[in-house]
Amino acid sequence: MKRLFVISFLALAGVVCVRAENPLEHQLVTVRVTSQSWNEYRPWQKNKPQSRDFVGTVISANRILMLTDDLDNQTLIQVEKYDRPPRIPGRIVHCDYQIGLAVITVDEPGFFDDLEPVKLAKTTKGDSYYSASWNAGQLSLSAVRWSQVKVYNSSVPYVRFAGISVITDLRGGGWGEPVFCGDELVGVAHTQTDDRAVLQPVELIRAYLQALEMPEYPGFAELGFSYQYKKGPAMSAYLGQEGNPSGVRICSCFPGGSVDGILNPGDVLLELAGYKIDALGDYVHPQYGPLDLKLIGSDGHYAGDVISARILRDKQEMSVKIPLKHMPSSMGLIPEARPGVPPDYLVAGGFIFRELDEPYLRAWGSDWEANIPFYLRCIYELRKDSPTPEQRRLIVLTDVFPDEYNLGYHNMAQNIVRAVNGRSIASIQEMEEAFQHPENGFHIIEFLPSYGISKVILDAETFDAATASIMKKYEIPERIRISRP
Amino acid sequence: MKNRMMFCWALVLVGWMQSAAAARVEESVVRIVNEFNRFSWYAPWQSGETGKGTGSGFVISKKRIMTNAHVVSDAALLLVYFHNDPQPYPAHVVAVQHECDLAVLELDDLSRMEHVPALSFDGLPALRSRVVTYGYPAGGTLISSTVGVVSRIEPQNYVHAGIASFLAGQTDAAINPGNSGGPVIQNGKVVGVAFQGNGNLENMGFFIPPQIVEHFLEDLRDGELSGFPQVGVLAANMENPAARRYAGMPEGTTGIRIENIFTGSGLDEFLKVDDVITTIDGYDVANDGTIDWNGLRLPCVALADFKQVGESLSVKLIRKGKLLSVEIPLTGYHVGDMRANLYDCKPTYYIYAGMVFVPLNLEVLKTYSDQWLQKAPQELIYELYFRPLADHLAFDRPRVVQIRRLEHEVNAEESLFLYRLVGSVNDRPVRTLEDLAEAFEENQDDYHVIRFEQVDGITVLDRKEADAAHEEILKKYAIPKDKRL
Repeated sequence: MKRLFVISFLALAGVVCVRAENPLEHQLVTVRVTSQSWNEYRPWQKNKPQSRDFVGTVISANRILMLTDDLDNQTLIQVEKYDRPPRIPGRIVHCDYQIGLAVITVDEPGFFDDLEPVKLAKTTKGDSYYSASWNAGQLSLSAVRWSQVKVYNSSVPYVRFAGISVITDLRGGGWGEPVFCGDELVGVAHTQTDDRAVLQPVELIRAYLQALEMPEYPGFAELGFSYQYKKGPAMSAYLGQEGNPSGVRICSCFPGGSVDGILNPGDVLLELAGYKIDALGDYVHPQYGPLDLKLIGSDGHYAGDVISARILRDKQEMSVKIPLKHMPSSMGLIPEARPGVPPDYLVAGGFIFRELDEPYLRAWGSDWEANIPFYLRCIYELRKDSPTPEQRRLIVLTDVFPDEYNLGYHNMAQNIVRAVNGRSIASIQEMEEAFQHPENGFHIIEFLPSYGISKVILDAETFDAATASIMKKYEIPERIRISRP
Repeated sequence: MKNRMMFCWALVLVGWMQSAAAARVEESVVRIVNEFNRFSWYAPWQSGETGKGTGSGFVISKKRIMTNAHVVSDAALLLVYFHNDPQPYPAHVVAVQHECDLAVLELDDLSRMEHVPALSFDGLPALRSRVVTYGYPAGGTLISSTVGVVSRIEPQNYVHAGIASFLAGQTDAAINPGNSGGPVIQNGKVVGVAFQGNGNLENMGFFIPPQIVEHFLEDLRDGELSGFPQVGVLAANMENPAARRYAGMPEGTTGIRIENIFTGSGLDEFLKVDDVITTIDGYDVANDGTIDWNGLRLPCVALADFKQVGESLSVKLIRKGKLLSVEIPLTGYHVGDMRANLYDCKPTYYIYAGMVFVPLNLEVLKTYSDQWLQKAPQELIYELYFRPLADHLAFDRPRVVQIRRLEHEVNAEESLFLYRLVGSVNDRPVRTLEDLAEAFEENQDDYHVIRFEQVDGITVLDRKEADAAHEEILKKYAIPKDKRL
């Protein structure tokens, strides 16, 4: 009995010791997200669902900050306090897939009563931080050390951000773990490889939260051009610049992007938003020093802002105004991402067509760039950012479900559609319409030239019946999906 | 007893005759040592990689020895060793055709050939019949022979040049490195030339059949090799009934529909896109594009392989519902030689002020990386493999890429675009190395401006400074000549 008493006492002491008050316990929650991605190859199907716990950071009276990557394809969100049950349903308030930040909330009354918002640091000051996350009911703290700051492309184009590259003890992070300096939030871990992680800095988090308070969320902008260095004296002199080389030469402008129609290929960009541009394309960021000029489009600006630029055109210096534009990933001819939207597709006579995008190409596995058919690799590298008013999207034939109806065409997958019944094709919608207009009793599908068949001829009269029969045989529940007009 | 004795004698006689025949074959089979010097497209002015290879060959006349092209490629010194004779006999290549992997040699001193029996050729061996291969595999100096059966006869990719498929025999008689160029014997006569294996198949080797060998020897008769004619069209199968109705094919008619005609082939005078070819030289073309050739189903284009340049094919076709007969001339036009592995040629190049330019071809691509198909800029892959399908002239005049820069003050700070297609130099469109040389050499402006196509970038050189530095750069990098066009 005495022994039992001792054990009980020790246990009590242990609890007291473990449960020492830490303000972070009231600032971080566990968010269980169940998600189910689309099967890019069989776009009417979904992949195996999975559930995963992430850490959410309370950033206001009833708002929790997360990464959009954590919430992608979510089917259920549940939030836990102190990493202990109960799990309470949560919901998304807002996602900005381009900067990768999201806000969720819990509607249950009283949920936030014993939670406290974190303090946001003014800047990512200092060089020694720590990250925090929940692990088996306890806070787990890991050392984080500043390495450098670089400009990163967002995983959902087109936005750049100044990512803080850090070295950390954290294992398997990069899923939104908050990083603190003292008791102030300086960033959230965005990606991690081995002991290297990249933080979304507090400046971006603050800009995002401020944008959410605006009457209409403006989004972040992208300049939308490519440039080349201009450090060579011969190039500088040829372009009409005297003295030390500075500025960069504009190579191309993204159709419909911020500088489209304002800057021209061949212009020399000398100054942007008041920052001088050096010959390597850097400007001096007030806090971080030399950084890629493309950050200017999103750092301290929202879409809709107007910035000034000083350029050299035909050897004459001039000033121009650039209204910054939000450039969603869907502007690409082959979009790199398709956040929150299922793939559009069409089943026609056993042919499976869909819009060509990077998520489809990623279905070839982790080494997808090496493994995809080399025709698609060529098209991807050469044309992904080259939409035209007539060709905003490419349609790829992903598969042919064999049937007597489509005999002779069974090995045609991975070709790009050029026209159907004489009509140019740039969307699933256009394909659907084109199939309403057969030519003399035939459907004629033309593909971009390749080494296989480039013209498919199908019987139009039996087309609908064959499609229905093939769908039944292969258990395809829906003939078509069009997510966007 | 008497009968039994006679039977034994008969066996002995047959055995003696066989071994005498084998001995005669062995006398005719030679070992060939190739001390090669292979030029580099990365440093095209250098003497290249040296090394040694061995293969086999066989005597076909009082003067000549037949072997594979790959046995004698890039030879700086060829030595021939006869059966049981340790003396090396220097030899030289009389004719080589890389696409069909055949070559003919002569000894520098023909006296050794006087008493060597020449082997004669027979026809295509029957399927499942026994054959014997002779040669010097695995670097051995003593002759080796192996027995097998002919297991398949069909077109195979001839991997040496890697650009064409021809009829080939497959046998389970061991064909190993060193066997190449050796004879495949049946009834004392040559029925093939051993030439390649396939790592994906067990105990399978391939031999060049008499039809291809005879084509090579016939082609050589006038002392000049014209090669195999190619039919410069791409055609689609007509297995789908709707496709046959669309093409106006009467019930029971079979054929293939022309999809693409390469301009340089000259066939656009005789054929039109959408023509349906129904017979070639009297052979009915099936809907899958094959013909019945002596009991073998071969692709119909194989008929051209049995003809010489200058001959023709008789074609019956359906054009817009009408039956037509046309005679298609077979020219020396070769589709896509720049996609072949190249041998026995010195690389062409042009160097100006340290900028090294070469024509785009497969050898240049291979200098990029072992994984050139995946890793090289895809504009090069597209240019080589896909642009010719849309722009039929693209095969004929290889484009120019900058492969290296030899660093010097005059160029080191200027922009660099390696392995990128040159679009223009000094505002003159550049298609070939000759165009490029002219554009540099005839420019009198202050600057040279090289414009790269896909990246929209430019490299600028101060002309006077570049001219002044040109010879110095050549000397510093030990380059004897600045061009080979």
